[in-house]
Amino acid sequence: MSFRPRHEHELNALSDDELIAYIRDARAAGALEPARVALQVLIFGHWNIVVARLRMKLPGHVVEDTAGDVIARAITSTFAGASVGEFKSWLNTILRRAIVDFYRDRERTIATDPLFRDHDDHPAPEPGSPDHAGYVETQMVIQSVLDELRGDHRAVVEIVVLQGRMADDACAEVAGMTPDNVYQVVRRFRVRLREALEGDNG
Amino acid sequence: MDDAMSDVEGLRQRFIAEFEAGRAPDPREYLTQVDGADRRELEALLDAYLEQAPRRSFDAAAFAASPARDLADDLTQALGGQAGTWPVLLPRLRQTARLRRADLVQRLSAALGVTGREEKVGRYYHEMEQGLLEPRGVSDRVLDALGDLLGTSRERLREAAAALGPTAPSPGDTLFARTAMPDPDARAAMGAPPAPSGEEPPEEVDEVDELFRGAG
Repeated sequence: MSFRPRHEHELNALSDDELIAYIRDARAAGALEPARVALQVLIFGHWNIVVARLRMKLPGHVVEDTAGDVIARAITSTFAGASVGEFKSWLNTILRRAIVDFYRDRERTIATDPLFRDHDDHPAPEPGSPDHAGYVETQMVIQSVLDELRGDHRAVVEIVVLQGRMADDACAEVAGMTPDNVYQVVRRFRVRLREALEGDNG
Repeated sequence: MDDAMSDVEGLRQRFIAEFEAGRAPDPREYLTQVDGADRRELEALLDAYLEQAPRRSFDAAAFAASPARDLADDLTQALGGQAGTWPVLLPRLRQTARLRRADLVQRLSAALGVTGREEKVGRYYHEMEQGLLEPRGVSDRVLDALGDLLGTSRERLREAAAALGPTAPSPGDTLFARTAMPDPDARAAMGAPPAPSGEEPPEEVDEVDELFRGAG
């Protein structure tokens, strides 16, 4: 097998799945330093995303450890021989399971409070989803509201709301959309989401 | 949009702008600015955004200061070793259990009935954390005792040892540890370095060797 180490800027341009394949090839070739650089690119790229998501769902003192576990499991499971599909989707699946497992485990044990808290532990209140059922339901609500939309409206919501991009992008990428249309589609989605969340909550 | 939706929308946009600028905004700071249904809606919207957010471009300076660095080092260690994800799992479990390595070694030695042989147990445990010890040689007694101390199970430890599959690196490649020298805690647990070869006869195989190498 011929393995060609790549520069960091080349690795940055690879997709997650290409990076995983590169790491596997590097390992098979015994080229650990190139594998390390690719791991750095992959882990750094997802770290803040995973940490931010966990901060909304878990107590602060377990967030970084859990983030490390989630990313490590997502990466190492791709080496075990089982196909896990697209890395990003797999990472999201493992993250959701970690949140569910945390609350399930907590229900089984008396307490998970640390013996001491880190000095820099954030003073903000702990997450609003008090149990795994609440988290799963919120995910299902978003999905069900998205599923109600017709194709072009769903594309607009995905661009503007889920990907955080501009209305102009939606106009450019979705046939027949004007800024006014985009505003109305997003507004209707938000109203519907709110209704669904309130209904789910009540 | 009405006022409540505008508040939520403003917070959502500010969070995304900060996140995409490469900072690490804490979503809880945004969530605490709204209550009730607004908060739940904002949380759902931020989570949906983050679920799709693309990977951040690598930044060497930011990486050097990030906790992500330790994970990358441990995973590299695991890829180059022969013990699956033990180099990732064992230090984290130990940290979660709030156990210094020397304390863990002391308790492990006691649990295995080899009190007084902490130095050798420490060397073997160090090899486990570094991924250098062949997992099949490690006995169930060791893994059961470790599992009790670290809040896990023998099965999970065996599973982690097999997690990276059979591929092995070529022996000529260099494996860079996280630091050039082990930290003082590690050095204390490892005990004195072995005598240079040729000066003393090799140690006889004893019960500790059997526990850590004899199971395969």
